[in-house]
Amino acid sequence: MNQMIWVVLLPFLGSVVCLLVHRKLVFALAMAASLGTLAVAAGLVAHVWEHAGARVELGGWAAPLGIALQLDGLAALFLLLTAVVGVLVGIYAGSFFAQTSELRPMGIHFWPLWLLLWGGLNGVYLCSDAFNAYVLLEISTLAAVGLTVLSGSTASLVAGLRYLLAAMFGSLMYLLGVALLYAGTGQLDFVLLSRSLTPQVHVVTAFGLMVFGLLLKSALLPFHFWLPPAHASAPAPVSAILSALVVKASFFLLLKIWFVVFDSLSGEGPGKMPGQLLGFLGSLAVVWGSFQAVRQWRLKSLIAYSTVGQLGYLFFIFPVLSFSHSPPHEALAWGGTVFHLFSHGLAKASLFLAAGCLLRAMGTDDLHAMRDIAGRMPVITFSLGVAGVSLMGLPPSAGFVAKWMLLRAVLASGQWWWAPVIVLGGLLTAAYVFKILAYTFVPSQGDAVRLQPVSLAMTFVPLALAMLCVLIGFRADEVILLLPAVPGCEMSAGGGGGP
Amino acid sequence: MNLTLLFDVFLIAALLLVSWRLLGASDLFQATVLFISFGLFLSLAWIRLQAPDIALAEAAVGAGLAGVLLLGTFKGLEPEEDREGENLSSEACRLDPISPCPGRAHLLLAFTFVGSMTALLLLAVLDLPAEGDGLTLLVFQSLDRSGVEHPVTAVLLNFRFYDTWLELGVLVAAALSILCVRNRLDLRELRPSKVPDVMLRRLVMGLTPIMILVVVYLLWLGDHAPGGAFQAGVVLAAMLILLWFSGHASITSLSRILWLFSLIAGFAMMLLAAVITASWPEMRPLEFAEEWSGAIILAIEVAATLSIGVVLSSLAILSLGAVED
Repeated sequence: MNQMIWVVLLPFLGSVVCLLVHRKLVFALAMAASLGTLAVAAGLVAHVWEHAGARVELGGWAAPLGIALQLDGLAALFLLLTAVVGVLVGIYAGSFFAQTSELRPMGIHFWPLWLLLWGGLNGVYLCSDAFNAYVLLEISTLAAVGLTVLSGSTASLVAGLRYLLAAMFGSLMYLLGVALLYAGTGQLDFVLLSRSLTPQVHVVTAFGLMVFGLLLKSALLPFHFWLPPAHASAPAPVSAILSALVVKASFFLLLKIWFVVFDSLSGEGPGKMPGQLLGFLGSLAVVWGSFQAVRQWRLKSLIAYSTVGQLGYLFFIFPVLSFSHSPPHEALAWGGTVFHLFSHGLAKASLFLAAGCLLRAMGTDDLHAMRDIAGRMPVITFSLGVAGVSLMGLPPSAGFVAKWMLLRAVLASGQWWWAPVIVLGGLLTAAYVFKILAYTFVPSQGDAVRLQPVSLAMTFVPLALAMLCVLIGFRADEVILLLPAVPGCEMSAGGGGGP
Repeated sequence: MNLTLLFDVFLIAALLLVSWRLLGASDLFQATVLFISFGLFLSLAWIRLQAPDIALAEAAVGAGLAGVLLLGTFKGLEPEEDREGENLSSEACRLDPISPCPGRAHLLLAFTFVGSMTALLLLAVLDLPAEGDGLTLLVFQSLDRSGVEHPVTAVLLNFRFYDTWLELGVLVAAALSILCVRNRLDLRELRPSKVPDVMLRRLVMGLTPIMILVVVYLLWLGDHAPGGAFQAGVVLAAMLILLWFSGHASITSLSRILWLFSLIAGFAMMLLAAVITASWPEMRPLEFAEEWSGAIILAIEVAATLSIGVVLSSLAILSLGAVED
């Protein structure tokens, strides 16, 4: 299973090569690295499908001393999502950064930073070591901040600095937790840590610090303040990457910390409280984020606030699983959460890229200016519509499957009080999606704005992402089978490489 | 015994006092100077905790380089006219003038947060087992298979090679991000804001060979004593900044491609090692044969020193340098 390290090596190789070669070759080589990473990621999904997870000890040093890579169903699905979005955004970016002479120098910095970020994200998915996770989060954060400030404009600098400070603070809180755990147990490996933890004061403190840090980085409601300006002010391909992938990486780590490392702590009595709290913050995020999205008049701000709202759905898994450990809810909750990750990742990337096309064509992303866009840019409008349908959770899209599974999981676990939030969030989502679409159908009054031409690649990539988002809705069974019913058990048994 | 206790108490008091004054400082220049002295006290504290590697890094990066960056930023914020005028207050130069300045409520919130965090951490630290020394024993047991004699170097460049490699990636990402902020492709044409005087030029000229010697010594030392790529790299960075500041040839004379090569040398070298070991059928990724590991680690340390020096000096030059019209 040594090839799993290639999902980290290939993007890094691409990044180094893109820095050094002539700028005419950069796009071709970056796409080669992207496609290679997609192929390896697909191979890893197939491996998990046919066999099981796997574990590789780097440098041949066994776990307490060295660092291991851990592949499981969840990691494989995240790798696949990142690779699919990465390749499509790459095709779009190749065309996007070639548009004008202002954008061309940005393209030179985009590729190395993006590939560095991609390698870091893939590293997070395979990570099995608490300190290593910190380093990977750092490399992803710094590369993501670099991408945010790509344009060098004052708005993006303010947003990027706020993002950097929030994310750094989150990382340091996480690191403080790791330090406490290491001082208490002398372990850093996730599986070894989970075996040696007992509910003591320092362990609970470490749990709180690590979860707090990761929540800050995943932009759950009270900590979402950095997200909308950063995601709205970045260039379109960067916004797509940040919204679809980067916030998900810290959420992935949160899942691992919660359900693998600290699994023994949650469950009974007071152990239910953190889960309920996260569910509560998640429902606040769903309502508040979606409500703010409805109030926006700039398309990119609207989509960014929609991310705040949609991220809230991811946090229902914590109350559902901390309440009861019975397999049917668990499969539903995992399936719903992962499906939501997929559908939101693909739909949000599609929306941001479509917004980039509109911004290019009209010169502004003000909703009022979008008159008669439906008639003049039908493909873009169609992508906006299809991606919007998935966000709303209408059948047959992946968004529908996700919300349906989440709803059933919530009801089956006996926590009916989350159900109205899920439904209300869907309605608010419908409100802002229709707000976008309504303006595209308003007929133009007299002299319409002259539209700049948008290249074919930029037109059809958002459509491809939106279509994928619908199509994946039909593959629900496979995704659920890939997911571990009880990830903690599978991980400690998986691969046979554990000490 | 009593004397060291006295020293520790003095150190803790100094740290608290400096940080309190730092938070209360209304003048940015004063705050910067206090930050540098805070870094120096902190590195003394690391020495007292018997962590000389961290003390070296803290003194060099935390006090030295961060101080240079802050002073440079302060220079850039200062208004051109009336340099002798009012002190520069922190409200006058905020990046984001739209959002409100922190008021009493913010301060109260911050103090509540810091106070409860301190209390929580105290409880947690008191709860820690007293005799835990982590993986130290295991590191010493495996030291003879690592190719080096200093445990810290063995951890950084063999047992946890992956982490160190990624840290170098973080440095590359930081350098590229600052390049984006300044809208530049390389460092050429960046000049220090003041024309250096002859004395400084001569002094730096005389110091350069000594600093090169220190870099090589620190690098070599990493094999068996505190030292190594990070410490040597920081001294190299200081040398490059001084050379640039005094008008000598430095990294600003390099072409884009050469500068990039030295910027990513460490990261690329470790990537190369990873690619080779990952494609080798009998080996695990990042596994070095025992007889080769000493040589591989030395080669990687040389490349890493170069990269760290170039990245850190580039950060300083990018934030201090001005483009001549």
